Amino acid sequence: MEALIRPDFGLSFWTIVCFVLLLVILRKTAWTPLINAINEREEGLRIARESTDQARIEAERVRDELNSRLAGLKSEIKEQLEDARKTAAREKEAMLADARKSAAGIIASAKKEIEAERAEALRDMKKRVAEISLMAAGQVLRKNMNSKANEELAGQFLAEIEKDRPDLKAEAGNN
Amino acid sequence: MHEETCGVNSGIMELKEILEHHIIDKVWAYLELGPVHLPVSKHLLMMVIAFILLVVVLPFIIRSRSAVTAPLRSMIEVIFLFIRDEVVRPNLGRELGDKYIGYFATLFFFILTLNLLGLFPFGATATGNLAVTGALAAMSLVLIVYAGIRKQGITGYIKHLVPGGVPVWLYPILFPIELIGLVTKAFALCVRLFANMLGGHIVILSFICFIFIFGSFGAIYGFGVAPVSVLLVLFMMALELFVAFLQAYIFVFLTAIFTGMAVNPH
Repeated sequence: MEALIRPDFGLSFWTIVCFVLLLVILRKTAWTPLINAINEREEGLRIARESTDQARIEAERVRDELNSRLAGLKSEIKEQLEDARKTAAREKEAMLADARKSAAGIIASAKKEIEAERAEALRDMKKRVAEISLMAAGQVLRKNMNSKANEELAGQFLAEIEKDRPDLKAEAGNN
Repeated sequence: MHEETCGVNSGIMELKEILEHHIIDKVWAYLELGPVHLPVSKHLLMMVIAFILLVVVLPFIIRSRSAVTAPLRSMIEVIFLFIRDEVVRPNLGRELGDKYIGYFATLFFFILTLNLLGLFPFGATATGNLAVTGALAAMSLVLIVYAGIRKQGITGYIKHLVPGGVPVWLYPILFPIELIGLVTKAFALCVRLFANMLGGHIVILSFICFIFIFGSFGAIYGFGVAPVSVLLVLFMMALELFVAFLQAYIFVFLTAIFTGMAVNPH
């Protein structure tokens, strides 16, 4: 077992040769490409991160712009709505006034018409009454041609009518 | 009674032989180059296998862009990045760290491959040999001193061997102590790796030999102990697998710390 702790320095020589060769070869063939690949990837990641940042900033800018534009639009819409409402109210007022005016006109003309109709009807009626009275008077006259009393009676009747309806007298006066 | 003790004795003798057979390097021949004898041995074979594996497989995996090797590639990358970002850069600083990263990465993968090769059947653990770990530690020592001198100049390095703020009259005492400390660090590196790799193997072999030692009392004992031994050996193998990574990491980590101390005094 003493051989365990009795190093054979020839093997140390081989170890050093082996290791130094490895050092030289691996530096060229393994570590440099590995470091390059890692750097490349890190660079790629960095670029990707930067472009992502940029895109985020851009997106935020666009969002802010849209927001402000939206706010502007909103206030504009509000204004226009307000305007429209005002205009509508004004129109309504105007229309109402118009309608009221025309209604008043219609009512006035209707009243006039009614008045005219009534006057017409009255005239008609008076004529009729006069006719009927004349007919009645005719009848009476035929029977009592010479009766003085009848004339008196008729005169009395007419007087009574005139007393009751002075307008008939006026109308009759006009006609 | 006499026979039984004989059996136990022979069992222990066998254990010693088995241990020596499995742990100590087998030298097949010596290369005679004048005064130096260079052994051609099993541990050398293991180092050559590791060398070929690293030189052929590592660049292949790193350079290939195929999806099949992608997991291996990312494994190597993770280990490399860990060594660079967690071990080398914090100790040496970014600039120097990137300069020396090749050494640390190579050291880690070399030790790791040797450790793992020792776990294969018919393999041998070259890092369980003092000559090998000694050479690795010596190279680390050279790196530590070289990096220190490179950074501070030879006078600056020697001056900073002794920590700052020490009274001048203490220098004659402290300077030799620090010099010894430098060598001790390297020596500790060497022995730590050696003992850790050896220890696990000895424990595994002992567990396996339990079967035969108990078997020499009678077949029934041997069969009784066998399942327990196998379970223990399995556990130890798993531990060894972990230790293979751990010791490679510790060796690299301590080398980085010592180099960092040499480069940045205070």
